[in-house]
Amino acid sequence: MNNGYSPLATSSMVPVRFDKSWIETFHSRMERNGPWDDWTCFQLAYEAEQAKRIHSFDELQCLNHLTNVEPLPHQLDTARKVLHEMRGRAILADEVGLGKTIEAGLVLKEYMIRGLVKKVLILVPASLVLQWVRELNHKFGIPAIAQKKEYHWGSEVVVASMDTAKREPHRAHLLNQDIDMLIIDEAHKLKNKKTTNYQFIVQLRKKYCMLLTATPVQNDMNELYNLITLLKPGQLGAQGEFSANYMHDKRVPKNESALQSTLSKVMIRNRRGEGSVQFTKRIVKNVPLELSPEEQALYDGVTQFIREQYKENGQDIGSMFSMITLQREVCSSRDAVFVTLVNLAKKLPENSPVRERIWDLIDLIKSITANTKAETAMELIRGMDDKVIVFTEYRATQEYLMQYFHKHGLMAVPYRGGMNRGKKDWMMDLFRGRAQVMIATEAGGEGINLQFCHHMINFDLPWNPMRVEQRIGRVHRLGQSQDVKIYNLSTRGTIEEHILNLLHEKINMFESVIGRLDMILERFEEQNNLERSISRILMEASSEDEIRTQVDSLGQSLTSIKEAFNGASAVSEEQSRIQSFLKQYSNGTEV
Amino acid sequence: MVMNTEQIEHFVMRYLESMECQVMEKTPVYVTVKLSEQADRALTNRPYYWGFVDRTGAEPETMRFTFVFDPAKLPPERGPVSYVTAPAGQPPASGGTNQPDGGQDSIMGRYFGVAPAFTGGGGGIGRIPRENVHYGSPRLESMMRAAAEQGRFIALFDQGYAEHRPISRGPKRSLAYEPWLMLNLKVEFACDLKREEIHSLGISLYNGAIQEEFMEQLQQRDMSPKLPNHVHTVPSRFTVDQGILLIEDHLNELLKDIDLTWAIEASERLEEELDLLDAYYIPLLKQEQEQEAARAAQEAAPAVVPTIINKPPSSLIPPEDKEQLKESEQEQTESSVPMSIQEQYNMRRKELEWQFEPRIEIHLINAALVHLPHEQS
Repeated sequence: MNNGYSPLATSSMVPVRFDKSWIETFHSRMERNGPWDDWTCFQLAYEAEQAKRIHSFDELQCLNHLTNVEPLPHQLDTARKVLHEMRGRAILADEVGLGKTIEAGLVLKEYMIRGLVKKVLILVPASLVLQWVRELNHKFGIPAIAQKKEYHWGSEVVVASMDTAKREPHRAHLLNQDIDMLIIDEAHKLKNKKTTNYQFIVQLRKKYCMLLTATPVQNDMNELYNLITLLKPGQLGAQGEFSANYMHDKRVPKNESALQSTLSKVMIRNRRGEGSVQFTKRIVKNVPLELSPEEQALYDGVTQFIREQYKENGQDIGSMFSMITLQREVCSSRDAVFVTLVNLAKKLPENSPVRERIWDLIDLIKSITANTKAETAMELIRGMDDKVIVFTEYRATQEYLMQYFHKHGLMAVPYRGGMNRGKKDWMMDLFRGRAQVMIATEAGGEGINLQFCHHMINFDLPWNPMRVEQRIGRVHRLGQSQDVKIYNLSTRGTIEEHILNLLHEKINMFESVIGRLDMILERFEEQNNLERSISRILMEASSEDEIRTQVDSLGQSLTSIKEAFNGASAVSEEQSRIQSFLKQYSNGTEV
Repeated sequence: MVMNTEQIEHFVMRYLESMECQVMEKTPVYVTVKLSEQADRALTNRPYYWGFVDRTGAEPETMRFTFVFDPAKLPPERGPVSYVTAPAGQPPASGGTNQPDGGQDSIMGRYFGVAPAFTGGGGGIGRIPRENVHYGSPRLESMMRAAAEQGRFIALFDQGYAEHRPISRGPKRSLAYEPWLMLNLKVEFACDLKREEIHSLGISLYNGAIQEEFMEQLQQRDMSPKLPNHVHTVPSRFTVDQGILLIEDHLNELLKDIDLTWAIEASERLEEELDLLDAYYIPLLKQEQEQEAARAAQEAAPAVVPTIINKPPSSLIPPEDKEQLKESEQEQTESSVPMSIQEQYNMRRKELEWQFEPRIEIHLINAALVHLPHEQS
């Protein structure tokens, strides 16, 4: 190939294969003078081929095919790099939340459109199998199936868990296949080359391959070496060469810029920028409410009732599950408490004195004529003149709000976990198109992406901060182009006020993006359960002031964990040159 | 190239009409049809149902569909009243939603509280599934596939010529038609990347003349499978098989002149990748050989050393990994014999060739026997 000489110039080196398998059929039609096909279909077939023709080697085709996903610039850049520079073998190492799945989907779709990939195997942790299947089908129109039966291995696009795939009889099926594209999610689990997982992947016959992980290296430079060797043996040189060239010891890289340029041939890492340009702001507004005397009476009655029950039960929090529920519900709506109270009464023996107490509470419910929270919510919504999603924890509250909004001429659609896929999609369509309000009880799960909506109302607050974050995450996510306004309804003089104070003032959760919340909570929950702690405070405190001080001290311990975290991670970053290398690694975009 | 909404509409409508589907409602945004039996068999993927009909002779019930060309212009689906709350009788809260068309809403409003209209989405009897047929959608894809299957081989006659024949005196003279063979071919230039060309080549079986863009020429004429009256075909000098060979030869000539940069570059990429592979595996292979030799020497010696199978030779394991190996040994035992270095090397080489080797593949889109006016008559 040097000195300008190219044996290919004569074309003799590129084999040409002319597919003639059709000739026999053509002959038999001629002999019998038919049956001939339809002339319109004949023309349509030709036109379809013209429309689908791939006219250049490198122009991305997949965008023309995708209507259910709008890839972000860094995702498109990544796809192009994988296709054209990395030749279809790459490690996608974006930080969490930047859309590795989308990037992998784009590359896969492009190869499939070009007819270079038909047989696809996607290995992911068992818990992610269905999510992958759904995303590929819905966002990319790729007919992926989740492997359940042995014969599923024969399908073209199969998603399975690594644990299943590496076991017989599945293993034997896969080792016998030519896999055009292999995708492995959470690929850092392949960092040790002595494991069966690793050896299994070595034995698979594959053409293109993508490894997805947010943490391509954690503690040991050899992890990175193993991962890359799995993808492209020799990319980092012979065994031993890597450690000689790029490692002081297994925790400390050397020749960092050379290492960087070597890695950049196989690994892309997009990072969240310091400014988080892509993330718009969260604007939080707390809306304090004053309960009507009747509502206050119900709240006090229920709280009193719960404390009594707690004392009678020997202060055993564990047995108080329905009581805690009651305490939370009473902050939401009288409808929510009502159902629980009635069910509670039904379970008690006929002559139980507690039954009397419950009927008294139900009488209190009956005396309530207006719902302060619902009124406030409606005023808010009227003033917004924009789409808004209202979150509540309770089905009964949801139904009440549907009714209430309906009565006042506000268009609203419900959304809940129990709905099947089709109904959920339908509700989303209605909300996108015609309804101003969506009332949702479910925040988790895939499928609700509400980037077109910029307002959310927390009608009540979950006591678990992660659930709050999930709610916000539905609206405030990558792709949201506007600031998101979050309204928290909180009634004065109730536990809600304290919880809001805890979440907002103490851990500042409404304003900070994803970040360390999960780690802080994890650490906290090693010793305490946050929800349980709150319940205990509520039941044991003898006065408002006591509640306040107790919740404050809860906040204190969260804050100190948070500070410890910041401090500790700063120290360990100093120690771990690997992590700092990864932080500076630039082959990708700051998003 | 891709297709825009108008082209898709044109495509879908022609397909449905050629399949004799019954159009129930047609707007610029969507079409609702009852499929013909032929189209149902081709599109709905209901082999069990059609198997049942074929075996029992039951009266088939074909499916109805609404195919949407322009989803953005379609109002959302109506559904059972309980899932949507809407103002009864009064217009929606002013400035409530950003609906451009308030009138539509009050009409919708009147519907609520009446029987739910099942136009899809909600399920139920009589539901007509609604599907988008944008470019890249599975439905358009399936129509393209069906068209390809139902439009593979055909015989065609130029009708216009027969209809507009010069007025002749006396009894009608028979007109001479010349037989042509047309092959529509897709040429794929593939390595780890791919590009395609489409060639429509026609060859006269009368004199061997070859014309390019033949299909485009036919689309200018009034072609039909119908044999016109009072025509005859001039005798062929070439058989169809000879025609195919001549077209193949012609195409090979064309391919000699193409720009081969892509293939050269692909071969260079392959070389590069193979070099990397060698750099990794060749030292390992050497090590293994030495190991083998050492072991052979040991075995030749009288002392019996138990050899461990199912394990890579220990010299291949860097000392710091030996600890890890111990840990993973248990796991290791459940797997069968790991691949030898040589096997791995061979497999990786084959993968690279599979991925990068440049090749040209020619596939038939469809083929036709074409009868055109014989110019020399």
